[in-house]
Amino acid sequence: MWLWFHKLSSPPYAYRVATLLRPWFFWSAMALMLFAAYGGLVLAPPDYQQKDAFRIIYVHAPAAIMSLQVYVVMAIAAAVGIIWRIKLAHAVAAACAPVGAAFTVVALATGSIYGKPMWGTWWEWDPRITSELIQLFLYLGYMALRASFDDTQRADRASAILAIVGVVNVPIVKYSVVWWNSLHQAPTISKIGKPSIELSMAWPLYTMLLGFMLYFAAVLCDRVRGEILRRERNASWLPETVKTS
Amino acid sequence: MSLREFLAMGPYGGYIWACYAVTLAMLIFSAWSARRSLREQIAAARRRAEMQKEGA
Repeated sequence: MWLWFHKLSSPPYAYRVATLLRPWFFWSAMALMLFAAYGGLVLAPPDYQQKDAFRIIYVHAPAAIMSLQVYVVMAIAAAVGIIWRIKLAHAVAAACAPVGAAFTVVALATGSIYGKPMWGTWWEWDPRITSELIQLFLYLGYMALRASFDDTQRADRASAILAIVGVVNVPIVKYSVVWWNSLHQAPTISKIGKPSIELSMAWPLYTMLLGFMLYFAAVLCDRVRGEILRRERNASWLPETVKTS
Repeated sequence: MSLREFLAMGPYGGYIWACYAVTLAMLIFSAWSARRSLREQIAAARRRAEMQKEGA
């Protein structure tokens, strides 16, 4: 296992693995997302309170969960890069940010559209919504900080520290609905013990989340490859590899 | 249930379809921009390899 990790941290090997895995991630993600959308829009029964509007949850909640999960992956990769000085880990962290920002935009936009019929407002300075907006600014700040350095190593170190410090916002977003009185509804699926949702409504939610995870993995493969090419521009293995891919 | 009823989703059709459209657009854009920047990096690496060969 450790040996494999060690091998994976070598850029040419990681580049080949990412090339190989990407189509598998991508097409299984497409299949799962289609299946989940069909389940959520057609098969699931309407909610007794929210009627058909609750169907928004099948894109809103998985996107919001991803906005936090991608950040955790990014912060862990940044920490690994700083502690063990692994360049590939920094490349992974840098590759996470744009995808995480995209999921955060989806969570905020769909949440806003969801809020209109349910709460009668597009936007409210509610703890959950405000902390999720801060999450978006963390991603954008991270990308802006990276872009402000010409030197990749200095960009890696500075942005890694921002990524690690910013991770405090993840539990704030997650528990904001529990800690403060919030307009936002309390968690439905992550409740410890018995989730307060019927299986017929729940399965498309989990399926969509799994689809989003695989989609993230697929896009990460492309972005990590791009990062590797940019960082290893003078490596001797590069000309041979790009000839075929 | 007719197709018209399905698309209307009670009074919520506009909101629901807008959410799914936003999500789909973002997924496509995010995957496309990652692909595009990868293609650019590959093209640049190929150019550098060509120049090296000519220089050698």
